[in-house]
Amino acid sequence: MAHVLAGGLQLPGASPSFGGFLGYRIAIGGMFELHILLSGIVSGFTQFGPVVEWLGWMRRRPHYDRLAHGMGRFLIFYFAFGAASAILLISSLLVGLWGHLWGIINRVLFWPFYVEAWTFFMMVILTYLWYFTWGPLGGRFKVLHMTMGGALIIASYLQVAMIDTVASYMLTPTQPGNPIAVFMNPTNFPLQLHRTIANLAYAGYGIAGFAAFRYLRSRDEVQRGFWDWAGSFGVVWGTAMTLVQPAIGFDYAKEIQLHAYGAWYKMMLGNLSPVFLAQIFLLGLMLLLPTWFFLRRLRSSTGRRSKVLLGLLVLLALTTVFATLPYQLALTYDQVQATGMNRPLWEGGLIFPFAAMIPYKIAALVAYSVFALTAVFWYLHRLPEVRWGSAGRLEQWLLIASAVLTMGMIVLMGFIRENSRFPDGIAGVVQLHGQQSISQPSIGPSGQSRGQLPFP
Amino acid sequence: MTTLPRVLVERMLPLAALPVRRTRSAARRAYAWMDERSDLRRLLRVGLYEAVPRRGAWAYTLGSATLILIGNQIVTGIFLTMIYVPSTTEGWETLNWIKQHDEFASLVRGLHLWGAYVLLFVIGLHMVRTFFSGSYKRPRELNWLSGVVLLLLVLALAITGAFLPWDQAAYWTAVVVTNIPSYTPVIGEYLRTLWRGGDFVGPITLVRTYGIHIWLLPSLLLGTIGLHLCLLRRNAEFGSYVNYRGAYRADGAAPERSSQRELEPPYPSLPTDDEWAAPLETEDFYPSQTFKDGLVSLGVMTLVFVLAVTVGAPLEVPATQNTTTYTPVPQWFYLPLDQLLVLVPQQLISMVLWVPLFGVLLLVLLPFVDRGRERNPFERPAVMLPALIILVFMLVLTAQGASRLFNLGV
Amino acid sequence: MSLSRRRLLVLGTQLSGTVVAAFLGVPIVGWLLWPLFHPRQTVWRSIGKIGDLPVEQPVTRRVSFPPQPQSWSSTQDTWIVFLVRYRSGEIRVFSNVCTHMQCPVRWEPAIGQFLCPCHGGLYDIFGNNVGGPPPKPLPQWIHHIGPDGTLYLEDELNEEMP
Repeated sequence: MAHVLAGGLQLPGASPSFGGFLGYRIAIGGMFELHILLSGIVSGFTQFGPVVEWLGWMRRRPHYDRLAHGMGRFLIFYFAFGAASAILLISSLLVGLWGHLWGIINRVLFWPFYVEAWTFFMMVILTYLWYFTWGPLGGRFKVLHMTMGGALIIASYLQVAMIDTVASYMLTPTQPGNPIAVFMNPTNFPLQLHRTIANLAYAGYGIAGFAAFRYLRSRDEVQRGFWDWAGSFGVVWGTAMTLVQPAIGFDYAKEIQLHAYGAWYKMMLGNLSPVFLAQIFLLGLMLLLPTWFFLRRLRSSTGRRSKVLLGLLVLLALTTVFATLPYQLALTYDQVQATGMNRPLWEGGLIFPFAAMIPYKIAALVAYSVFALTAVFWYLHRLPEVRWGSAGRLEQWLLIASAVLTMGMIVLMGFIRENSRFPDGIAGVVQLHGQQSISQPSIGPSGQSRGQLPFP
Repeated sequence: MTTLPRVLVERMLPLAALPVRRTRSAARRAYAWMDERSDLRRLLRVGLYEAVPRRGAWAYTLGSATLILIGNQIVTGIFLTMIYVPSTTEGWETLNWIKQHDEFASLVRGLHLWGAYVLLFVIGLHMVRTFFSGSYKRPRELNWLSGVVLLLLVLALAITGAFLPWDQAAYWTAVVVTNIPSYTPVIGEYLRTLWRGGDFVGPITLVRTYGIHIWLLPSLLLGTIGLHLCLLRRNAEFGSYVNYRGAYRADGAAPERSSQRELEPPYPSLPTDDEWAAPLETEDFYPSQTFKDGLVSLGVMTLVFVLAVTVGAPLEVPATQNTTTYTPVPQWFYLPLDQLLVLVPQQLISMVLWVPLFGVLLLVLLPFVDRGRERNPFERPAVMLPALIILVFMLVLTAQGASRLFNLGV
Repeated sequence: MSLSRRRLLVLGTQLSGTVVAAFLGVPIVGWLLWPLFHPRQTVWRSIGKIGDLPVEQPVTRRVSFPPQPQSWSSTQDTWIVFLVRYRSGEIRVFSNVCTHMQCPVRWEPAIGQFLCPCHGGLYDIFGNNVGGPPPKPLPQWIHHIGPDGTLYLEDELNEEMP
């Protein structure tokens, strides 16, 4: 594929190769995972930080302001690092290694990228302004400072919304020439909801994990009180956001089933289904560990073990076990079907009917949300009894574990989403190296062949 | 001098020097006659010059805006009963005819439709405001409970009203909505047959729903509004926490109780000297609060009027069951429930009943769960955060439903 | 038992109230419950000769029945009918009333299934509910094929699959 230019120069026929196709995927995938770990918390903090500042102003408590200011300081330190990873990713790796695909994406999604660049610009300016004008715009001008924070929330949300438009289009493409159709593609809103709530949850758990780490290291009574409170505040918020995710995620999966069946099949019944099973387990832990924290934290202060929270903890543990049962005792459903073993276990097969998504895992997800909501309510109800600074060590390790697990879930989710579409760059349209897509319809679970719905 | 002016000067002028007997004007005499027989003067004084909290009064205008919108619904509704016929054949015909030939009747219909949509929005805002300000706490629990009943009645009125045009949208709304009770255990199918007057939606369903919409529900509504307003008068307007001594505990900088007004009825609303029993500053309902109420109501009614004139009330093709191309679309206020119908699998189908019922149960139990004295919303995280989560959940369902419908091409 | 005057007055008030409530209540409740007990009369309608039907390809026809239960309304209800012939020679006559919320079901050739657009319910060519929320298979009209190939439908749905 070498081209000869005037003057006899020859253009290289292919991108530089290192490790072949797999090398590209590891390089790009690894960089992407690092990027989303950093940018997720940047999005979360830029959207949650101003809220914390405003809450502190309404409640007239200085430690909220201190926490929000600390979130601002984190943003100042790490924002550039996250942005640099994105630049490395896009300008070097994606353009260099998958240039043809990236060119198509930029052509079709020009306007989302253009708007995103400007919102990113606003986000950077507002983040730095928000942090550095904290002192000068205190007191009488606090309202102005908080309004700036509000503008930061809007810029941050729009920036993520534009990126979500690109990401969702790659999975469920619509008519390219029509910007409204491009924006309103079927998985855009579900993805926006999913990612925004996830970033806010990540922000909460991130605060909790960091606060736990500082609590364990602090010697001063006042400092311990502050970090104790911050950990509790973060984990309550993180759990509150996480418990809405099952409803959001289920609708997202439904839209994927309808508009990108091959990807859906791979995630739910194909070679990514064990990873998805791990996700439902991690989700259970994400709600279980905070409930344990609530139980222990109340006990550390009051000496009494809350029966309600203990009961909820047991119920959540049982639900997690129930939700993690595998439907097929093999890697994929196809393997089970091919060997004719798609019968229940007790009939000699490899299928466990009580682990089916419909209705058992859905019932488990509903149970997750209801139990976690009750736990959050009960903990807040009993919060006045807590003395800040009296937390035990186990509580802090629970917070750190929650933060680490959140990061694990985010990394796994990225892995699942990108590999579900493989080998396509834009599902059903073009592959990663620019070749025409040759997506084959998969065999559905009822044994009938189901093609993807025709794209307009 | 000529004759006439001489008569005027000589005869009339002396009369002007006579002392004038001070008679009351006819209006004043009529008023005194009414007052003697009905205690009108005291009623007006007690009604108009009630004390209400001074600060944050713009937030309390939502209740009267709701009342004005309900009034709009009743007035436009009464005149619509003279325009519309509740028949499966003639109902659509009457509305189609006025759409094409009678602009004023169409405007009345537009006011009724947009009034309903704006009412649903404003009643939601009113509920959120009273929740936020803790106005459901002792002694106002009955106010809140009657308010929940009002919310349910307004929702029922909105959904029964949606059946009446008998176009495609109305017909399929009727089919789906009358089908929801069929998922009640044991008696579900009977409930559905009772409402429909048969197995399927038809003329009996329409005329039955019409009667429910124009008489049964409105009479319950008016009775409950009367109760709600009597309780409000009895327990006094709570307002917002910023009006009360209890709000200033954090920094101790409570403003002095204004010495110009003594504690006026209906305050204190609690027998004890509770720090939330009486606001620090009050003003008269008339004209201070009524001015704000009037302005907000004017704004809301202007919005309804503008929407009725510019967008108007739509009318699709007449109701047809035998279609393979029509995609039924739910009413916007019904989107969260419709999205729940999409998400819930058939084995868990009774969830579409349990989830809304559980929501109503939470509303009813609220005053009994949150019994603390604290009114400041920022000091009540135990109810605020779960309420925020539930609100986010409903917004999520609405957004998902809207996105799904957009991608179906409707 | 001796009745005091007061007790007699109270009882009289309660009794008159109850009787008036009964005068109002009995007719109203009776009217409300009428649809549950009114006998239904079914009719048979012909929709013509079925002729040659393509195998496993639904063919759309329409049928009109008088409304059930009978009312003052003289307009007929028209329903969509899907006729499907299978390889075994069996013919099924489906209605397009979804078993979830009774929305109008349609045949989608692109996916080879019946689709209900309201909430994404799916039925396969045999009428089994294979996707989405519908709890039961697609209902079938009770039918009878005459000796000359004319298809007769009764206005009765058979909601159980054989």
